[in-house]
Amino acid sequence: MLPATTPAATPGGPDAPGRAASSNRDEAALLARVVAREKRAFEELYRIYLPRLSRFIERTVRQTHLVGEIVNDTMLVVWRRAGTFHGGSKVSTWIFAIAYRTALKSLSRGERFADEEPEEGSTQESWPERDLMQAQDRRIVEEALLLLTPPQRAVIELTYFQEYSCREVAEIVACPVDTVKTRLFYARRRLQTLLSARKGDLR
Amino acid sequence: MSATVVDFTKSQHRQSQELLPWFANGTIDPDDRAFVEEHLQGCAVCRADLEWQRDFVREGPGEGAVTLDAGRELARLRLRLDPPWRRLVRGLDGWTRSLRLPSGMQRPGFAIAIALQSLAILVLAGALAWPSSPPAYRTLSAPGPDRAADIVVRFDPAIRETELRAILLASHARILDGPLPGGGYLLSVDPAGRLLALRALRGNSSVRSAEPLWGGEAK
Repeated sequence: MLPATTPAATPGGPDAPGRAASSNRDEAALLARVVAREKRAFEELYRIYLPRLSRFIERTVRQTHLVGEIVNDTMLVVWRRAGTFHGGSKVSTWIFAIAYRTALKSLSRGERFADEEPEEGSTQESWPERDLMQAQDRRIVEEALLLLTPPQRAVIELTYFQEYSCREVAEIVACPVDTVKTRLFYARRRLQTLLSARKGDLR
Repeated sequence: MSATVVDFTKSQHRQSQELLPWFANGTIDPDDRAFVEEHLQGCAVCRADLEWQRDFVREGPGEGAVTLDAGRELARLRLRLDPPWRRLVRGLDGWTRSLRLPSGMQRPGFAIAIALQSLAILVLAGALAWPSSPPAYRTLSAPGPDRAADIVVRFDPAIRETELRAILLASHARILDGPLPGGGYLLSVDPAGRLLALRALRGNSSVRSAEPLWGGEAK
C-alpha cells in the first residue's frame, strides 16, 4: 500500500486518453482545413490554443508584454506552414514546438531584460490569513522560477502544467529525451534549493 | 564488487528521480511506471520528492497574469494574414479575370503590371491637366512675349549688320518681324520711350524711314 506513490490520474479522468486522441483527431481535421486555406478553421484553432499558448509563453519568457505578440507570431507560422504537418506527432506538440522556438527567438532579440512590475491591487492586508500564506508561497515560487533559464522553465511548464509526456516535451524543445529528463531533474533540484532558501529567509 | 552494487543503486535512484515528473503527471510509459513504483517502495527520498512535485503543481505558480482577448488578438492577426496590399492585388486579379483575357494574362503579375501602367497614365494625365506656371527660361525657338509692334522701319539696303545692331541698341528697340515684303522691319520699343526711339531712328542716316504704329505723334 503506497498511496503516495500512485501516479496522478491522467488529466480529465480515466477515459482522458481516448478523449485526448479524439481531440487530436479533431485538431488534425481542423489543421487539414487550414491547409485548404479555410480561415474559419484557422480561427477555431486559434481560439482553442490561445489560453494554453499564452500561459506556456508567459511561463517561459516571464514577460507579459511579449505574450500576445509571440502567440500571434506562432499562429502565423501555423497558418503559413500548416502544409508541412504530416501527422508524425500530435497537432498540439507541433504547435507548442513552434511556440517554443518563437519564444526563444523573441528572447534572443534582447527583449529579456524588461522588468515586470507587481500587479496592482494585490494588497495583502485585505486577504484572509490562509490566502495570504498561499500568495506568499506563490510569490516565492514565481521569484524562484525567474532564476531558472527559459529552457528550464519551459520543461517545467510543459511537464507539470501542460501535462505532456517526456517524449512530447523532447519533440517540442527539439532535444533528446535524456536531455529533457536531465534538464528537468536539475531545474527541479535548483527550484527546491531556491525555495527552501527563500522560505528560510522569511522565517 | 560493492562499488558496482552502490553505483547500480545510485543509478536506479537517479533514473527514478528523472522519471518522477512523468510518473506524477500520468504520462509515463507502462514499463517505466512499473520500475518507478518498485523503486518508490524502498526509497523515502523519491516518495518525498514525488509529494513535493504534487504540492508544486497544486500550490505552485498561479494562473498567468496575461488574459488575452481572442477577438482582439485575432483582429490583429488578420491584418498580418491579409494585409491591405494583398487585398489590392487580389482585387486586381479578380478584375483581370473579369476581363476574360487569355489565361496567360490572368496571373497576379499581369494584374500588377496593368495597375502600374494605369497609375502611370493617371499621373501623366494629371500632370498635363494641372495648370502650370510659365517656365523661368525660354528656348530660342519659343515665341517671345506677345507684344505689339511700335514702329515700322526701313534701313538703307547697304547697311552693315554691326551698324544695324548699334542703331537698335541706341533706340532700345527689338526686331519683332521682318524683313517684310516692302523691306521694312517691325520694331518694339519701351512704351515709355517710344517717341524718343522714333526720333533716334529718324535721326540716323542709315534709316530710310521710321513710322509709328500707335497712331498720332507721327511727325
